[in-house]
Amino acid sequence: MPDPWTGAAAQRYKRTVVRALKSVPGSSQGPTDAALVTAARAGESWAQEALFRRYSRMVNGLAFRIMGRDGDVDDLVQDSFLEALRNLDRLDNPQAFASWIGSIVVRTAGKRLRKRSLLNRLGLRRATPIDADTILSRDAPPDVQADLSRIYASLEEMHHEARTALILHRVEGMSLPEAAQTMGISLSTIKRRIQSAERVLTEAAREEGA
Amino acid sequence: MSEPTKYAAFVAPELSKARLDAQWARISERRSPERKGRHPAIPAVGLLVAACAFGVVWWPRESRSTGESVWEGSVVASDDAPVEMTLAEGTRIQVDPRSEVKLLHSSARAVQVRLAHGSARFDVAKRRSRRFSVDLGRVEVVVTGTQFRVLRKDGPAGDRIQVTVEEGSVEVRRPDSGVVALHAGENWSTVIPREQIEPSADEVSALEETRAEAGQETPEAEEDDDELYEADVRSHAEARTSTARVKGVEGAEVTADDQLDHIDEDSAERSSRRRAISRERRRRRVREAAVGAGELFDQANLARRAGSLELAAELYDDLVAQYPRDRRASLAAFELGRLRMDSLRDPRGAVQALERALKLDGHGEFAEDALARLVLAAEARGERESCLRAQQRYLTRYPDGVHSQHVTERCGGQ
Repeated sequence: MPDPWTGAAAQRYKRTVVRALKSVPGSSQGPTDAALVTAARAGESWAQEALFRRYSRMVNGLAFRIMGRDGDVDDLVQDSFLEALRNLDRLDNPQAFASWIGSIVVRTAGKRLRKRSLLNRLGLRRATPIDADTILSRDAPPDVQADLSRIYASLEEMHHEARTALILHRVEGMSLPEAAQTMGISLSTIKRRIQSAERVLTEAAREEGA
Repeated sequence: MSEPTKYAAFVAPELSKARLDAQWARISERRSPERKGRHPAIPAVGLLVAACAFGVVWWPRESRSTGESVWEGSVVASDDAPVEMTLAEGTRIQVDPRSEVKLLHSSARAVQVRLAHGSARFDVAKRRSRRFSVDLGRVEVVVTGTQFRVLRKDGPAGDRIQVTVEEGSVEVRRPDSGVVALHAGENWSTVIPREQIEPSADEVSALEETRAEAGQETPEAEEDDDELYEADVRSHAEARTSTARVKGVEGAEVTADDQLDHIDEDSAERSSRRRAISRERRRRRVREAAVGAGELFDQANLARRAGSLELAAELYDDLVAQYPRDRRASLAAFELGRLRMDSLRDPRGAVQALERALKLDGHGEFAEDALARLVLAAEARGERESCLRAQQRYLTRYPDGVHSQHVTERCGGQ
């Protein structure tokens, strides 16, 4: 059976796809996710790069919002894409690449946050609060700024799972079922985690008011 | 329960094309360990490398801004047009017209670039594990991941050097004046008198010492915030002897003297500055603490001894995944297998780790133990066939081994 990815026309096609996605990262123009995943599974590096170009902004954004620090983002993005590209065969529905990579980012970030909190407890690291001013857009309306500042100021005090749940629900705007699916947990568990995170926020607000 | 709110648009990282390119370059590099050390753009830069053998590459005006990668020893000299180049590790350098840049050293741990003259803009790829520095003769600029511009211009009074930080932060090091930290929006300039342009042997060794000190910081070398602050003030005091100037984004120019006085007089500013210094250094220590196979191994052992077995397992796992060719990788894999089996009750994970250990070093001092443990792990999982295969594997290699009797009794045997 002839290889569908050889030949001059195929080479031109690959170049065109990658070039288009490089110039407009995140664009949904061009081949479907399913087509890219199928080609990437076959070892086509252009398709792997095209998947990265299409979802790099989304993944960078999610990583940034969960970690709350720009310095943590690059490694997390790289690790997440590496895991995704290594395990493409496990993706049941190739068209669902976006939500799948989102879950990978959440899981990878969770591992890092967990390790970090253990290092804190061992005294090998000192927790530093997130400086909301450095991560929030100046275009945000005052009420949004206040809300986000409140969330990010208390983030380091939360358990990492509660923190991730809160970010997915309150910052990413995911519904509870969506957030539960992304984290790979049940609806009742995500509710408990968000409640736990909100207790930390309430406590912080009370202390501030005192 | 609160309603979902969509704030994502207001919390977004700055994503330049260079940053995304660097991320993809790193992913590609890590995806292809077998190609490590071999350059991805060999055909495209073949001529460039050949030309490097003669010392200098001149970029014709028409072919500037190639984005091609350069190798250690390459000299890139621009004519009337700027030249853009990309280092193998993802850093992009824009060499301004009539400027010359040489890549002195490039490895996984360190990259050193020299700006011989002129100016250049650096968009340094963020990589925790390597030190990136720009050599400007008597001045060295050290960064970990940022965008900045440097200028080195020969004037009547001597060498004029200017560093402008656009994003992140850098440290400017001089053998005679210590260290000045620069943050986004700040710039620093100095004039090196003509007679001092080439550092003396003593000064070179002093500079080497400051570089070595920077590379040897460990989490154990904890300094308290007061000491950090005092050290920083001292470095500013030393900077007073130079003509260094620090200029803010708004253009209000102040000398290092003024800045020092300002810090002394304004307690709020002092406190804020102090926090920023300690935060930055703490961050650097943690970052540095987490890199390198040796440090990962030490941290894993430390965590294991402290009873944080899950953390220890994760750190061993990191070491094996990130540094499979390191001499400690096989031992780390074995330790991981032991932890998963004995403490974390994860025989499946233990089998994976032990097999990995044997694959990395099938004849190491722990190989016999690993093979014996594979028998126990298979038995713990209730897999009789696997257990018998593992038993046979052990007994074939170590018929009189220290565990042979114990192994023989497994898998429902005698």
